[in-house]
Amino acid sequence: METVILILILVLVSYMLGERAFRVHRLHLESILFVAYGIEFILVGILLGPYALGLLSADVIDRLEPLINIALGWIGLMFGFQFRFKDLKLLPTSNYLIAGIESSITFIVVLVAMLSATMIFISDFITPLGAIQTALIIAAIAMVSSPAVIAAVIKQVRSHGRVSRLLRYITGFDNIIGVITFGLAYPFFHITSRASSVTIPGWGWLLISIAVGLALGMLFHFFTTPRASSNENLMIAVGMVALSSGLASYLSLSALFINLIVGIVLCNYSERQDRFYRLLISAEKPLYGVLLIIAGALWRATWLMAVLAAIFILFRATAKTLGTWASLRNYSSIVRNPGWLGTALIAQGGIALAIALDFRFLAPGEISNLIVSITLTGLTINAFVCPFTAKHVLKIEGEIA
Amino acid sequence: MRIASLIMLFALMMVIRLFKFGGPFDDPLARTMVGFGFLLFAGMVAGELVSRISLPKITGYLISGMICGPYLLGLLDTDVVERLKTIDDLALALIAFTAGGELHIDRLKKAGRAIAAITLSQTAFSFVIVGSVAFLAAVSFGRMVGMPLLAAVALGMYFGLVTSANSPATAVAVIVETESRGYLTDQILGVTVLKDIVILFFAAFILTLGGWMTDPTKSLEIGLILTVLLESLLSIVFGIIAAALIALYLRFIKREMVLFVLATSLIIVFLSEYIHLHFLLVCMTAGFCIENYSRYGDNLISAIERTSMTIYVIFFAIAGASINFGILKSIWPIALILVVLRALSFAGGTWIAGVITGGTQMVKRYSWSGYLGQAGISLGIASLVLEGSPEMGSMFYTIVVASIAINQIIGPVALKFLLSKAGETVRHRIEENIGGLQWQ
Repeated sequence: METVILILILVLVSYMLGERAFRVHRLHLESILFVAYGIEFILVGILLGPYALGLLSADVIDRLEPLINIALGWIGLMFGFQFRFKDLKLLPTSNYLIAGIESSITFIVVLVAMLSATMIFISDFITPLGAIQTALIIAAIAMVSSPAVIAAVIKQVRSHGRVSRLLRYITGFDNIIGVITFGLAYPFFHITSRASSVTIPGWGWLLISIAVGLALGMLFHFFTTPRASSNENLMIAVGMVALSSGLASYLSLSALFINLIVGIVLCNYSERQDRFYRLLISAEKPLYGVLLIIAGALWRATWLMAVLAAIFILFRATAKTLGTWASLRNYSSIVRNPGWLGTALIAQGGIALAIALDFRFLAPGEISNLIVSITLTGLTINAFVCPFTAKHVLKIEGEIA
Repeated sequence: MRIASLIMLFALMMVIRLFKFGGPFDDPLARTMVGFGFLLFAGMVAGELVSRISLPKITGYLISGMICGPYLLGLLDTDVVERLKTIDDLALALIAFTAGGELHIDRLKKAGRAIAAITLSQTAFSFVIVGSVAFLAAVSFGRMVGMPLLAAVALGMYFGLVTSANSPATAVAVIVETESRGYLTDQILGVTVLKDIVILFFAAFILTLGGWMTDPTKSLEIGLILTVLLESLLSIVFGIIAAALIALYLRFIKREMVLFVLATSLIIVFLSEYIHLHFLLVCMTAGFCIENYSRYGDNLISAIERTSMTIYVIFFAIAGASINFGILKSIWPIALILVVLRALSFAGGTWIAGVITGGTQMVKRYSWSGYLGQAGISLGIASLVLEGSPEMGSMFYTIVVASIAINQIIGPVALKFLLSKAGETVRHRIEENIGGLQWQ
């Protein structure tokens, strides 16, 4: 109880500080991003973790699992709500192709790099299957880009044009590819797949994940109506997330992935869900704050982590650049300098962290903690670098007025 | 379609209950989350269904909890219900904020005399009538088991004390749901809140005296009464400080109100427990001060009301799930006698107060039915008695829990009918306005 209260107070204080700082428009772009992307929450997490106060130990974090699962479920649901097929059909196919090719190349490059790195550096305390799992999860995380950073840069430099729009689409689409890849990959390493008592194969768990998401989405669809009051909507949202995240946790499946499917089903089956979506969005910042604090507390500065994080950041940036260049070869009319565009996609958003934390609670242990630390390091460094690279790309494309 | 969906969710819960997978699947936290989500949907649908037959929604929430709880269908086991009870304090804190915020000084001034008279009269009547009957019963049956006379007096006092208490949570929930406004609404809310405070002081005195009567070898701890007085006074001071801080937030930041209200309530609950204060009194005082002494009362109350449905569903559904039908079945006649005696003493007390203060016929004849709800404080007192004298306390606790169960079922229904009869619900106000327009 004490810890929950402490976290609540800290989230509230850091959120208010962030809000106040964010409203000071005279700050430079990079300073705004520093606050906007929650570095203060990470610092609070590190302060609460074993490096300083020691209040958020691994045991305490494990006790907070329901809260974190609900946060992950809420993010999944909110994210799924953005994928209304009717709206997606309006976008040109080229956008999907560009994002698909770019993220696939990123996935393959990071997978190979991280698999090699884990085999070289941590082969003593990881099985080959564990190494493949680690590399797969990190590769899925690598695919994710941050639409928020791009949106903030575009807003700040007041750029407009085809490249600005393309960057928004790619970053948005990268996210869903990342979550889906994680959702598809994780069931193959499901905890009970390796236990003797239950013999459901990996593809079985995958089907169960999808079926649970679809079934719950259909069931919840009948509870959400455009007529519902905000009071009723809040209750429905909390009920949905608690039930589906609880069920995911009960079956040791990804709360993020199952809620993503629930969100996709809901937004495609129910009409006029704008009010419901606005309600989900209203909790985004505080939930993101909670996840950053938890990740900050789980962050461990070791040489091994530093080496793996460096490999991750370098190979990811290279892969993003290469991937975007390769995907744009057939669309030279859109971008003048395709070789640079990928550098604008290196920022990692909250979804990357959500995947890492989801995995941390599905498979607790040293390896999953390491993945959280690598992701957080990458997220922080990329949050500092990306505004410069994105600004540069927009400048050379001539979209800054 | 919502009912069909709920039936599917029922089936899902049955599967989880029947196929206890065990091993890595037997995670109590996961089951609690599923149970929490399920209760929200079950409560929502049950609330809608009972409102169609003009019953208050909270009756539906209670029924859903009873049906799904461990003593009927068992979709939620006792472990899950106990874990969910940790949300109770948060819910109560929010309800106390609402109760405080609903008390308007100018309106209270009008009903102040009646509120004070009814509070004192009802408390005195129920304490004397129920206490005397319980004492006589204890003397009659106590001879067989060799109960000392002083212990019988103590038992009588305990019964008199617990039956005096009301349930502000029930009153607030029904008033918020029916959006009632008017003299009787103010009076019911005022009496319920004031009585809780009076009972708090009274309980300290009775429990101290009763403890000495059941075991005269113990010394009479007068210090306990002073401690309760001091804690209550400090709770009011803490409530004023909390109100000032909340008002500052509302003035300078005023963002993410729902999150702010939830966090503030949790912090108050935690700090109150930590420094031994009564969090209900703190929240009521804070709500009252913000409503009456700042410009931000509406902001606070509207933020709380945005979460109210979730809070009420979970609070009353858990209360329903906690009703032990095994106990109720075994001692329902005694519990029913207690319920009837309590209702009669409230009716008598209210009538006398009405005569003294010159109340209307509505107040004198019918308003007693608005005070039947009984919950938290009675249960708290019963637990303390059980703790103090386990032998006598266990029988006392069982009877009190059974009578609370009955009162919780009939209390909200009676209150809603009373408010409708008095024409103070929003429905009546709208009908009156429409009627007025047609007539014009």
